[in-house]
Amino acid sequence: MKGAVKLIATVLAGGAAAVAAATAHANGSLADQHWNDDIRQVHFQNRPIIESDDVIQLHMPERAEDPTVVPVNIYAMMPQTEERYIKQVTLFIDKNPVPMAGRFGFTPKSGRADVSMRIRVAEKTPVRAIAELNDGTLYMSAKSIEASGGCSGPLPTDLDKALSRLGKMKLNVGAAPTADEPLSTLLRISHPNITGLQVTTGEGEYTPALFVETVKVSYGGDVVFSAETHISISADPTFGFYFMPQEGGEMVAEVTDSTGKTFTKIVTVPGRTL
Amino acid sequence: MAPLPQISGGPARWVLTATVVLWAAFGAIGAACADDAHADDRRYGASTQSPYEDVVDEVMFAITEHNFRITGGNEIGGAIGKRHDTPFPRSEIVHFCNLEYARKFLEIAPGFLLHMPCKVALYEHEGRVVVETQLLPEDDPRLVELTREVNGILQAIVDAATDE
Repeated sequence: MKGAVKLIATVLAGGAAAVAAATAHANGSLADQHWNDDIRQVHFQNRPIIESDDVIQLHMPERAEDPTVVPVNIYAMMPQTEERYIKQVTLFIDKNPVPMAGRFGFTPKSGRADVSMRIRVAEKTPVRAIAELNDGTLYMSAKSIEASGGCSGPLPTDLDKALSRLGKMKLNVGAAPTADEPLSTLLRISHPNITGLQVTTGEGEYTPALFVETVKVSYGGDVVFSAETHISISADPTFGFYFMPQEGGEMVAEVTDSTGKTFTKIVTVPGRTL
Repeated sequence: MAPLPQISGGPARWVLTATVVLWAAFGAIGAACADDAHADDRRYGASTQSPYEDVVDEVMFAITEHNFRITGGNEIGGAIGKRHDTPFPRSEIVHFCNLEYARKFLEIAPGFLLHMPCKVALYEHEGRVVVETQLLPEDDPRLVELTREVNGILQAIVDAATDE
């Protein structure tokens, strides 16, 4: 279990340092009509969006080997402080049936506004991460990915078994805390996250959608990570994020799905060493 | 055939003896190295006390985190147990692939196909779960950079699955 946390932390931390700053594309993704006329209008209206990798960087493969499970890492290029912090990152997959894959909330107590997840990709498409700072400024990091069929991919082989484990969670916190360093955390939710576009094997009918809608993770009573998600998140949603450890306390993850069911997981996090 | 020269003794005899001994030793070492180039030498693995099902989950997670696609698997332990109607230690192989890596390998060396797809073996042994992989051979200078890259991923998958 700790290996997965370490893996995510290594990718988040090492990748943030190693990824070269991408050049802003003068005639690039902002010029896409579907994005500008449809998606952007719904979510941001005419608010200016600065295309830059200086605030966040979106990292994902250029071609998805498995379009139902595409690893995505979003790295924050600035620390979270009371004065200036990323309060929200929204991920869009332009050509997915539901373009908004997730909206992720952060606070100064998050330490870093990095987030990792796995997504479904329906076809070749731009993918955009939009960061909103506490002062309302919007920044975008965009990539393109080649993929096909991620949203209509097969259901779990044993759907009954998957449903019997619905909402079970693993919440793993990284290595022992030290002063002033945010801790990496991995939340894994057992949930088939059915898109509604997947055909039930042998029956030729679509299985009704059933997916994780909200995630809220609190530490010591303060929210450190939140998410509103939809069908573009892969089955068994997994989110990597950070938080600032303090005196120690309970970390509580609360998840609700599209039927309104709520699931909760509580772990005790030791206090930081001084 | 002319008779072998007689070496009566002294330093020349010791030099000849040492030369023969060293030659034999190097020959044996060389033969051993050739044997070590077999697949067993490329095994990389570790074990954990975590529950078997958890380790399977960790392996699957780590594979997809590196943008590899799980292409198949064989639950060999289960199949053996079912055939003989008797419990058999859980053991399975997971196959996975990244076609972009595969393309690069095969464009240079079509015969490299024999080393595909990548695989990880999981099995119960003496109360622990062992996770092993077979690293790719690094003896072809045309492929060494690629193989080291993929081998790093294979090792990372094993490490992630067995890290306690």
